Amino acid sequence: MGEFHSVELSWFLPPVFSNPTIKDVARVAGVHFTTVSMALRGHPSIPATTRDRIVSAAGRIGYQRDEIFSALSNRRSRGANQSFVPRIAFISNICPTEEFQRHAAHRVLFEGAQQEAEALGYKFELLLIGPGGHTSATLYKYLKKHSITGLILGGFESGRATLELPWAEFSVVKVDSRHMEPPVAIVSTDQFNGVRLAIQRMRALGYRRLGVAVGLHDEEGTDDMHVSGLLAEMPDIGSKNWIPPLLFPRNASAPDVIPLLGRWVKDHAIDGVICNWTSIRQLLAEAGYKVPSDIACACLCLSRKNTALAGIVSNMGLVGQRASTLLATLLRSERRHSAPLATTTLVQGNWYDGSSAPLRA
Amino acid sequence: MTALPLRSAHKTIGNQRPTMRDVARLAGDVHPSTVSLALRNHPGISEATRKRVRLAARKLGYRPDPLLDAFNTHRLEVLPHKAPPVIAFVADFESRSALEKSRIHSDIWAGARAAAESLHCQIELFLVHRNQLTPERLHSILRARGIASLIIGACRPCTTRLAFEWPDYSAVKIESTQITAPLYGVCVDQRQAARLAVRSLRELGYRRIGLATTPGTQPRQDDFARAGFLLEQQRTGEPFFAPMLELSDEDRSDVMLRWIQNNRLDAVICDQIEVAETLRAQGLRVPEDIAFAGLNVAPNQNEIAGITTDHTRVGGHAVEQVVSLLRTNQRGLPATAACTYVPVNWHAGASAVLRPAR
Repeated sequence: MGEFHSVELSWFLPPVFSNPTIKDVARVAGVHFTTVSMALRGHPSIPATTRDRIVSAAGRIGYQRDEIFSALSNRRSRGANQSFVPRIAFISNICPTEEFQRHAAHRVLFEGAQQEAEALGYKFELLLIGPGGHTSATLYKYLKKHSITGLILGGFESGRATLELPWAEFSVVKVDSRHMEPPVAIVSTDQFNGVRLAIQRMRALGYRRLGVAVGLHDEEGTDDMHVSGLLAEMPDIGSKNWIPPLLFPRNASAPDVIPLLGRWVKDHAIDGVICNWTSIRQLLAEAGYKVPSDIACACLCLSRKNTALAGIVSNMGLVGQRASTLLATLLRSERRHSAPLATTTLVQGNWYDGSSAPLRA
Repeated sequence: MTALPLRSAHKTIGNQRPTMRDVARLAGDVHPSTVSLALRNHPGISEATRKRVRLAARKLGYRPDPLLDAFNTHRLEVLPHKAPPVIAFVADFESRSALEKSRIHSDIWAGARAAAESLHCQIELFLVHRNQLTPERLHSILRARGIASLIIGACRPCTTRLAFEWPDYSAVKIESTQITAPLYGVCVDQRQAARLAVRSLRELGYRRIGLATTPGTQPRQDDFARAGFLLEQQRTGEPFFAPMLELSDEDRSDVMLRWIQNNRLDAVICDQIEVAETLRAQGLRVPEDIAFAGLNVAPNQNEIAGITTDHTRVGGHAVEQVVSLLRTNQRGLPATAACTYVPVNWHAGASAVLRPAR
C-alpha cells in the first residue's frame, strides 16, 4: 500500500524541469547520461528493460531530443572537414565575366558582399546570366543542385537579361534592381542624397547653372532617386536657374549621348554638369567643351577618389556588406518568403573635390 | 584510454576541422574565449591581438560555422537566456503614458518590444525630458548598467541635442533627422508617401493637387515629401503644376483658404490630419469642394483618406539593426551613414472619393 502510494506520488509530482536535459533524464532513471543518449538512439548495447525505463523517464519529465542539435552534432562529429559549406550566390546580368570585371562599381560591390559573407562563414560565388552565361532555367538547376538558397541580386541593369526563379524557394536581397522581381528588401547607394550633396557642393564652389544628366535606365533602376534629389534642391536653386534634367536613352553609347549633351548644355547655358557616367569629362570634351575652363563637371558614382574628377565616391563596398548582413539575417531565421512591402536601405557616399570643378573666381 | 589522446590521434589524420582551440594555440596561446571575442571584433581585445588571431584563423582555415549560428538562434528560442543583452530605447516624452497616448510612438515602441523578444534581447524604455532624465544622467545610468546599445526613438524636433558618448554605443535612430550624428537610421519613406498620395488622388479623378506642410514635422522629412510630390506632378504629362504651402501655426486657416482659391485646387495633401477640420471650419465641404489626403492617417480612420504606415515595422527594423551591430561589435558613429526606409500604404476614406466625371 505504502509502496503503491509512493509510486503514485512520483507520477503526480514529477520533478519540475523547465527545460529538461539529458542529465535530468539520467538522474530520474538513475543511469549515466551517456546511457540515456545511447538508449534514446536505440543503441543495441543497452538492454531493452533499461531502455524502456529511460524512455518512460524521458516522457515523464518532458525531455525531447532536439532534432536540429542532433543533425548538427552528427555533422560536426563526423570529424571531417566541412563537407557542406552553405553558399550564397551573387547573381548579376553583366555578362560575360570579362565585362563584369570591367565595371569597377560592380566589382567593388561584389567584393564587399563577398568579404562579409565569408566572415560569416558562407561560401560566396559569382553567377552571371546573359549571353555566354546562365539562363534562368540553367541557373535554377545549378542552385538546386548545389543547395544554394541565399541569393544577392547584384545590380541588375535594365535592358539586359532578366531572371525568373520560383522566388518562394529562396531568401533574396536585391542591390538596386528595382525594375525586376521579386519585391524584396533592397540595398542601394543613396542617389537622392548624392545628387543633393553634389548640387550643394557645386553651388558652394560658385556654380549656378547646374544640370543633372543621368542614364534613363539608372533612373528607373533607382526608383527616380536622381531626379528626386534634384527636385528636393529646387527651392534653393530657384526657378531662374532651374534646368530640366537630361535623361540619356536606354543602352545609349558615348556617340549617342554626345550630341544630346552638347545641345542641352548650350540651350540652358549650363556651367556645371552633374552626371552618373564616369566618362562625363571626356563626353563634354567630345561635345566641344573644355573642362574646367568652359564648364565644370562632377560624377555621382566614382568608385574611388579621383583628383581629375570631382564628385561623390559611392560606398559600393558597404552596400555589398549590408546586403550580405541582411541576407544572413534572413537565412539564419529561414525567412524565404518576401514581405509584401519591402524596405529600402540607402548607403550614403562622400564628396571629394577634383580639378573638373575648381573653386570659381 | 582517456579522451584526449584519442582526439589528438584523430587530429594526426589531418582531416578534422580546426577549432577555436587550435586557433588559440597558434595565435600564441591565448585563451579560446579570446579567439571568439577577437573574431567578433570585441573592443575589449587589443587591435594587435585581434590581428594575430585573425591571421592564425586564416592560416588554419578556421571559419565560423553558420549552421552552428543557426542552431544557437534556435537554442535561444528554447532555453531561457540567463543574461540577455539590454537595449535602451530612448524617447523624449515626459511620461510613459504620454508615449502610450501617441499612436505613432506607441506603435514604434510595441514593434521594438516584439522584435527584441524574438531576438532574445531585453529592451527598456528611458525617457529623456526636463521632467525626467537629462542626457548626461542617462549616459551615466547606461554606463553603470553596462548597456551598450541604444535606439534613439523618434525624437521630436525640439530635441536636437543628445550628449551621448557615441563611441561607447551601438546605436540606431528612428526618424530624428534633426539629430545630426551620422547614425544608421530607420525612417518612414515620406517620398514614397507623397508619390502614392498624388497617384491615388489622380486615380480618383483629382487634377489640381496641392501639398501643405506644417511646422513641427522635421526639416529633412519635408524635403522627402516635397521631392516625391514634385516628381509625380512632373510626370503627369500635363503642364507642370505643383503648388506647395508651408503653414505656420498662427495663420493656418485663412492663408490656406486663399492658397486653395488662388490655385483653384481640388485636392490637398497634408501631413497633419487636423487640417481637414480647419478646411471645414472655413466653410469648405470635404470632399465636394476640396478633397483631403493625410500623409499620416490611422488605419481605423474611415473618414480620412491618405497614407498609413505600419509603425511597428519601424520599431522592429531598428531593433534588428541594433542587434546586428551588437553581434559584430560595431560601436560608435559609422564612417558612412545609411538609412532604411519603411514603405507605406494608401488608405481609402471619405475625405477623397471617386470624382464624378464632369
